[in-house]
Amino acid sequence: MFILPSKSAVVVAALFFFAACSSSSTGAGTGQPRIVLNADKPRPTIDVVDVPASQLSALQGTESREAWNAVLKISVGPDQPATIGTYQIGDGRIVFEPMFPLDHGRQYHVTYSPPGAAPITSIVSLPARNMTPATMVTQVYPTSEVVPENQLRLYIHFSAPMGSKGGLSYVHLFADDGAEVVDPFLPLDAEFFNDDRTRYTVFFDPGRQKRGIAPIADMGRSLTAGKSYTLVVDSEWRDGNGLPLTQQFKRTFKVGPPDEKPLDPKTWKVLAPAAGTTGPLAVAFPEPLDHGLLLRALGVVSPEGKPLPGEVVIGEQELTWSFTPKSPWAAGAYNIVAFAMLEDLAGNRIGRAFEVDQFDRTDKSGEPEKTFIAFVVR
Amino acid sequence: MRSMFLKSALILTVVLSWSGVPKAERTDAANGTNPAFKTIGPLAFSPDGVLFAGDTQSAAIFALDLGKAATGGAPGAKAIAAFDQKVAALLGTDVREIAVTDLAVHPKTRNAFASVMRGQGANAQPALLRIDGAGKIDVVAFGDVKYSKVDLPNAPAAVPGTNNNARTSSITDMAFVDGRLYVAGLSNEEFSSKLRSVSYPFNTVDNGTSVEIYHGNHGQFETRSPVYTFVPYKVKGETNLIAGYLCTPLVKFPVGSLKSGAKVRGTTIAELGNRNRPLDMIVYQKGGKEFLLMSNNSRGVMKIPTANFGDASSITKPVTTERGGVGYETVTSMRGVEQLDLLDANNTIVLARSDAGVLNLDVVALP
Repeated sequence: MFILPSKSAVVVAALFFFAACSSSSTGAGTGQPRIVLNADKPRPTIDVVDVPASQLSALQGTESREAWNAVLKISVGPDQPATIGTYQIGDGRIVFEPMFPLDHGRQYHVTYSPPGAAPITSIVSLPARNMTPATMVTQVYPTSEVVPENQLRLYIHFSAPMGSKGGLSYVHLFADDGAEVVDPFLPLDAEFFNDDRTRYTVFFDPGRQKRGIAPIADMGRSLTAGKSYTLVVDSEWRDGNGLPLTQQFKRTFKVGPPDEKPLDPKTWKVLAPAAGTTGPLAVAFPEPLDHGLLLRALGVVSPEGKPLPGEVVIGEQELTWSFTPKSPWAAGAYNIVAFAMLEDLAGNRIGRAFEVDQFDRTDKSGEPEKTFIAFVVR
Repeated sequence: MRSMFLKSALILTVVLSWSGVPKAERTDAANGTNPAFKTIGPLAFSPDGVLFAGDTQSAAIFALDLGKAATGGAPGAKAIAAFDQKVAALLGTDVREIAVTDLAVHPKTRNAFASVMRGQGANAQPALLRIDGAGKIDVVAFGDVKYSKVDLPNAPAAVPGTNNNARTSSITDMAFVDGRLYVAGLSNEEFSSKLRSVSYPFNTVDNGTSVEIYHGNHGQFETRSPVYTFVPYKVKGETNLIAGYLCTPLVKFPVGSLKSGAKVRGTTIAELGNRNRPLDMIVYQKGGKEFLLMSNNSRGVMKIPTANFGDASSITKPVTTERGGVGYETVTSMRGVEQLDLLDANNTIVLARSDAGVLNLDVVALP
């Protein structure tokens, strides 16, 4: 790259001239038009500079995309259709602003075919970005060593935002005999990332989790109690910079019997904090609960019934939940509030298993049902 | 196949909160020019050409007045081989950076519109393409497009002010029926769907309607199950939604029954067999009969006669055979179909991936 002595600094990146047709003698300082990459703008443009006034004049009135493509074609390959953008004439130059920002590291083929003169061809590119992979899988939930046979979902956490494309093809499940489990997960083209694309949700195929329907009858559950399985996340999964992961991720876990019982808060152990402190309220569960829902569906309400702000920490194997308030506890009767969507690893909710045998319990309100678990701060 | 019919009520329970919608369920509408999509996904046209485009990351729906972008092209839509590669070239990138997210046909011009995401991660950009009858691909300039927008509410977190809410909602399908837009969505946490409906124009919206779907499984077990795709269809003069959901059955329930406080039991009319995940559906007529055409992730395209939808008995017992309920045939000539829409009275337009992984835009005679 070098800086051209023009009014606005113009960066020329990878300037190549092909001896195409009769245009073999163009270049900087020759007084002939040159194709340059102008990276001096928030959105870099591809410019033809030092264009004679006669050529600019002849191009006045050029409007349609096709007409401009015949004059100045930018493409991702010599035999590829023209890339779409806008064209402007002025100050001795023609400016092509791509509709979408140019990719770093990609070569753009440019052909300027001025009226009445030989075409000029060039390849320009923005510098490639760092191509060293840096993103990795940081955790997969649940973290418990044993999961129920009817495990409902997995959360895969990444150290940095992932790319736009879903990753189910990069997630595999192998039985302890080394055979890959066929179609264990729900194949969808929907997005299951969180907002910043650092967590990806994988649902086990519900058709193989529920009783009495064809897939489970035919194929059985994806997981079988008593066996061990290894979850593998391929390193080829691309992150938000288009780079693969630093390494493959593996996690081996055991499978226990199916869990078809609803949650029962009466079995939770609550350790109340002391008044005047900001010590944590601690809750222990008899079984692991869903990590994502634990972060969202449990909270604390004051004696006056107001939700308290604070910090939540999920303990090992998702067996504990603790809440540290922003302000010190005052003595009084508080409640833990559990929203109805709180679930265990198999999708069972408070008072309602994933599968129930009647319709009458169906929620009638759009508002989440809440369960309150009382505790006293002294 | 009739012999496989199993009687009575495999039911879908629809719980409505048509009135008294709690605050968390309220929707917000906005208007302007130059819609700012984070992502662009499902598309649906109203009969008069308003394009509804789902932003799955923002959990919002834009209603687009395409203006000039809807006119000027050759009528119809033409097949384009290696569509994804041509789109990538047009947008100045590599085909690996392109994801075509939906396809819809304009009700008047019969031009096809495709939603596309270009790039990865935070740099990903939305694009809306128009394919006309000459096979020309134009990119809609959003700057010229008027829009109104409605947000789908996210579920609240129990602890106020925390950054713990990683829940997002995906929009999986939309359809415009009798002045209301119906929207199916999936969460990345709860395994249940919200089937919402909002009136249009959005600025007079009555806060939308949240519809929880439950699946009564063979009269014995009730399980939560998300609707993934659906299509409006009149059964004996009554508008129904024919819904494909993730437990493999095909379900109908009447739109007219979705009233305040109602509890609607839908009817499962077919089980579609293992590994069938309904992706997209259209209804069409041929030879004086009506059919449902459904693409799915493993079996190509299924053609289902609708004549018996009104009378089909519900499936209520476990289906031990591979398929149950209303019969269907697999259209083996249509393989790898990822998106489809009805192009005209005789043709469907599809995005189909070849064995070599190339995405082609094909125009296929209705089977």
